[in-house]
Amino acid sequence: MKYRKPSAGPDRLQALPGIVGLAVLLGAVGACGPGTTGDENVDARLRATGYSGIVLPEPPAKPDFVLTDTEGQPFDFRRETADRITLLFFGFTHCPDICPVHLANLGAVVDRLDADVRRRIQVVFVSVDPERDTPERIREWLDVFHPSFVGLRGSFEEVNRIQAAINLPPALIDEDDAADGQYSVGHSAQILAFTPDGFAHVTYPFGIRQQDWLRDLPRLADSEWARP
Amino acid sequence: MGAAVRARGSSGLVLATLVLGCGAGEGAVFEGPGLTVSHVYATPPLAEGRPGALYLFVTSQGEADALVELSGADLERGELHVTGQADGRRTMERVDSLPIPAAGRLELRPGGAHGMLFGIASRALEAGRVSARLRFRSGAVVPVTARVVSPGELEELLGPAR
Repeated sequence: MKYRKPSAGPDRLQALPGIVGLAVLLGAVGACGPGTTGDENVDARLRATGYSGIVLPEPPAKPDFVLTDTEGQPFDFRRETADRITLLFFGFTHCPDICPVHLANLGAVVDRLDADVRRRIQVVFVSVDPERDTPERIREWLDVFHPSFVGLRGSFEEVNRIQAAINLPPALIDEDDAADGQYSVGHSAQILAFTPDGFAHVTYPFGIRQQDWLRDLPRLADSEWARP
Repeated sequence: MGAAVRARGSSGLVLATLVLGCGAGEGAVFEGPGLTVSHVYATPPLAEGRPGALYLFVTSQGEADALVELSGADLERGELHVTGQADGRRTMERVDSLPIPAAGRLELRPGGAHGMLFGIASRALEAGRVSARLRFRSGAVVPVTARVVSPGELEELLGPAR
């Protein structure tokens, strides 16, 4: 399987130290003792930081971009989410495994949060597959998880520039299967939590559970990061 | 536990609402020669033309074996895939087989090995059951019926994702 590599432009090169740093951090949390939540990685993170997610030593700044939402309207990411705890995820609607499970777990907890926390949470999904992900399909797909989820679409190159700006690796299209339209797209499975101070201090890898979201989201909403 | 599942067929016109109740470890067990298949769940296509996914556990009571084919009358086609991780990305690859260790267990669960279900029949989605046929390297063929569940139910049914 060969994945189509984007051109190694300045944005991608600048992102590499951050990508390596995140990979090292993810590997470093692997060893831990007996846990209390049923996931030893989460237990270790809770002991170390108080969060089930991964607290980033160098939190990326909220990216400044405008993409098109599922109503066909421009969505200014910074402006529209300024006062919210914004959970940003990159994926694609043909993804049968990672994306639906990650978003479904998040969607399952939104309505279980206290109202004052819930109204401060905004989930934003950005497609890494603009060729197949029409606004209608993105909306149809997101509504399965939660109707409040915002869906955005831009060019493949533009979306990869945004990911590079926040230290995520660019998405790669599987070239071997591209001819029959059933290709897969390799992409980051992190959900970055941007707080109103303008940074993502915590990121959530695939495998984070509903109980982890229920624990962390009120904490994030009550944190000093949540004050603009 | 109850959950509403909106399942869409490939026509995009079928919309079935299923109320499911099933706890971890429940569900049918399917027996083959030297093999036991359990925890068989399918997630439906979540938008028109998208595939569903199949998750299950296969336990070998003896020799090592391998799952080599996924098919079924309810499917246009099935494929075996593995989600991996490289350079900070999750990638998915089609594979010819999924090994089962001797006296061990193969687990198809989110974030790892899984079946891809293309063109699931509308009648199966409406019924909340997808019939599939598993063929193994040993020659064993085990018919299974997957309960259709929402992706948000999987962590309770199968345990944490990989």
